[in-house]
Amino acid sequence: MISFFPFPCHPRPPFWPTVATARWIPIVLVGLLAAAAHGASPSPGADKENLGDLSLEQLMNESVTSVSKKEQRLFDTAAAVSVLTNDDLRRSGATSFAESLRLVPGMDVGLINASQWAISVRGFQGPYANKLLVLIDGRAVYDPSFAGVYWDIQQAMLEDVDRIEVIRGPGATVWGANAVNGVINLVSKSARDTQGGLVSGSAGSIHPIDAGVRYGGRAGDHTYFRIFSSYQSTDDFPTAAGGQGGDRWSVWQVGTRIDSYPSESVHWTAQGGLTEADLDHDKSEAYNANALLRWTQTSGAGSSTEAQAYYNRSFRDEPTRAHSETDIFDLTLQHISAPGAARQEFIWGVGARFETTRLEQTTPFIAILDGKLSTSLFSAFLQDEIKLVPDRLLLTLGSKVEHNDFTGFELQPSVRLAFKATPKQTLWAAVSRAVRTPDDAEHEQLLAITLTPIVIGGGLYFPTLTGSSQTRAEVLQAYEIGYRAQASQRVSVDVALFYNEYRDLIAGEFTGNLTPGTGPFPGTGRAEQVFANSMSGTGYGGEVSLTFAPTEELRFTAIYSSLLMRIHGGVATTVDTLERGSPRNQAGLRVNYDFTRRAALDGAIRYVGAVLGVPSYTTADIRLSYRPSLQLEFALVGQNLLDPQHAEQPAALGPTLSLTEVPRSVYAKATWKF
Amino acid sequence: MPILPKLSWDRPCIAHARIIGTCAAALIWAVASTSGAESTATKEYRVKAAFLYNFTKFVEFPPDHFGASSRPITIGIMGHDPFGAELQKTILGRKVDGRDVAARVVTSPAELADVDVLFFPAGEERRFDELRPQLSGAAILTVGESSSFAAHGGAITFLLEGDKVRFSIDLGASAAARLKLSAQLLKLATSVRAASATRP
Repeated sequence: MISFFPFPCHPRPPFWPTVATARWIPIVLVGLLAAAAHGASPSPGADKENLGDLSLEQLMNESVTSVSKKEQRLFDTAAAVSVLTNDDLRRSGATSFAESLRLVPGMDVGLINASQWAISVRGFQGPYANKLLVLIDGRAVYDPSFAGVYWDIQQAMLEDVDRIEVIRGPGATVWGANAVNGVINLVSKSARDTQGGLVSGSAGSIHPIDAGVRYGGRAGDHTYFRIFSSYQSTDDFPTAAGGQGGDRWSVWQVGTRIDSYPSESVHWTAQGGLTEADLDHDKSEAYNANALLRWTQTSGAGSSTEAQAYYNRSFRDEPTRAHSETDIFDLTLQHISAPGAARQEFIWGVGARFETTRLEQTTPFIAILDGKLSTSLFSAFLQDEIKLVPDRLLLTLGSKVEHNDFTGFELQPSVRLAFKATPKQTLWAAVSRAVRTPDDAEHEQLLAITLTPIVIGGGLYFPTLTGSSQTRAEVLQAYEIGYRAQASQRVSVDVALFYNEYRDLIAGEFTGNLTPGTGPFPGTGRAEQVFANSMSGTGYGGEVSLTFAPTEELRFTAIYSSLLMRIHGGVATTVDTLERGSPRNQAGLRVNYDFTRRAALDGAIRYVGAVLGVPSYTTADIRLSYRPSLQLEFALVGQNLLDPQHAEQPAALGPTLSLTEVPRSVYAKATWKF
Repeated sequence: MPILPKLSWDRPCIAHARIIGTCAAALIWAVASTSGAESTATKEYRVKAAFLYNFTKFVEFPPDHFGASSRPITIGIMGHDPFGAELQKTILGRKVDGRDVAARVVTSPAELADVDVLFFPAGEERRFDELRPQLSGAAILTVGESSSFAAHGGAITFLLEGDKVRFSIDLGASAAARLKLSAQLLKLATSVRAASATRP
């Protein structure tokens, strides 16, 4: 099953580290040996065994995941969807929410330095990637000033995460503006499912301390709660030259979640948390505080109503960027009506969102012009699922209508069709329109960003970029098709292909106004740039994932994705950044192997194509775990093992971000549940 | 840092993709055709079947429960049967406290007679409410597998923790059915809900 792994597909051998090829042979060998050993000596959990012979304790250790256990609903969805389960997260050895996304096919995930990530999907990867909507338990976590995510303060206690759902492609019909290229939704467990205590601690080479504690209990007959806290420190990453990056940081969080089921049809949740990060050797600081209430009522007929309100405050004080404070208040109401055996299911929702941003200047390179901005957003959506042929053909029609302060009304319709060729095979196709409305910096005279200087007529000029009220929404017209098959209980395959047409993409454009003598250094000038809808383009490619579980104890997951971007108009460097800023090809192979009831070996190899002058890289992670009892687990994890260090993101990021490389690392972790 | 030449989606790559695709497809169907004959129950239900059998060993029925009868301990499955032949295979030839173990599907209240353990597969929880009058006071261990089943007041509820099958216990429900659950069972439960005085 390793032979079809499409590494050789990378078109440019010079950047293919041939030494690394030799290096990952041992990993593959270990996998093969493990498989062979398994075949030679059937373990007590072998297939034909009568499980009635096992004790309760042994039964509790039986792994029941098989390829066929994918949720039916997911299998039938007319969209490119991947789900990471709690078990996937644990076995990946990932130490953060952002890092865990490396497991998802087609996800572009790169570290800029120890604390900053460039994460996107289907293109537009970069530190200020703005075409992805990220939700944590229903709370959108993007920062309105650049419509992207500060991953450093979006942490989750991974032990209590139920799943991470990723939709590649537009999800705007339901989720609204920003859900252009994809939606990520982290769903944490109900407090009912996290009863009891959990303590975990790890020590390692890049995270000297990584610890978490949770306690879950009950308050009354129907109400459950948990409180948790975690802390993670990260050491300096090396620079390309081998020096210390100066990007050491630490983050801690504390949070609580209450789930109550006062009657069989009502479920309400209250949750809140505070995450605080000390960045760049304590020179910068950031925090995020939030509180959320959600109330769900289901009726017997399969209808449900959900109301949700949350408040989110984020704060950043960075000498290299700005001092910013953002308050968001968000309300949504959603209703699903499934009138019995009817052929149609309606989902509708309404929402309102209020944002206030305050900025103060901390560096001459980012001048704050008018540092206070309040905006509001109102939205409504309607989606109709029509069973054209019951159990065969499902048509989903819908649209979102949004009103925002910058561009007024925006319409985001989609049409999706799922055809179940057989109960185990689904073909789907979708056409959708999604928009990204200009962010605060693009539309308002909020700030002026000083970019890398250029020489014009013998003088040195710093391009200075400001917003413009002329900017309109970026528009994506997306065409997607996909195929999912459950070939047997052991094999499943998922393929998605997309063709994206973008227009009105926003980028900085020179206005031609030069003002000598006003630059940040004596004798330099400024060249005025404003954000404008100057570019259009196409992106196309696809993602494949294949799961093969030869036995209950052994599972292989292979993923491959490809992306080609073409951008027209705009400044040459910007075009280049967009066309080559996301890897052309990515591939990965994961192996999960339970070689005894108590011990497991997990391994992964990842290949990521070159981006903008950063060579492609291949690296590997290994995790070895041992569970002496149901309550206790020890794990030894090695990450990025195939080279001492490698760069993942290009240097052309402007003066405000330090660039370091990802080092090889190891850590040991113990987890105790009681 | 080397400046990358303009990359193109060149032909060798597509050729590779074709070979890879063909191999992958061949592999899938080869595996599919060899493994098509395996049992219909998933591993999850094989494990749950074994749990159901185990529960009969760790539950103490009221003294008068079986009377003089030497009938088998019977596991009932409400409505549709997710186990296929797996539950029958698991209990075949087994004895608990000198009694045989039997299993059968239950579709109506009348068939509840002689049932000692009653399993509600996901989707059948609503039947639990319908059967409440029959179940009230009857010495039947109710077992379910959805969180709503637990909320309805079932005695034991399966849950999945990662890829492992676990269970929670509601002592109020088991006490109402005059059943005693062994300390070992309680110890292994993910959560144990204590019997409350307000419960009927």
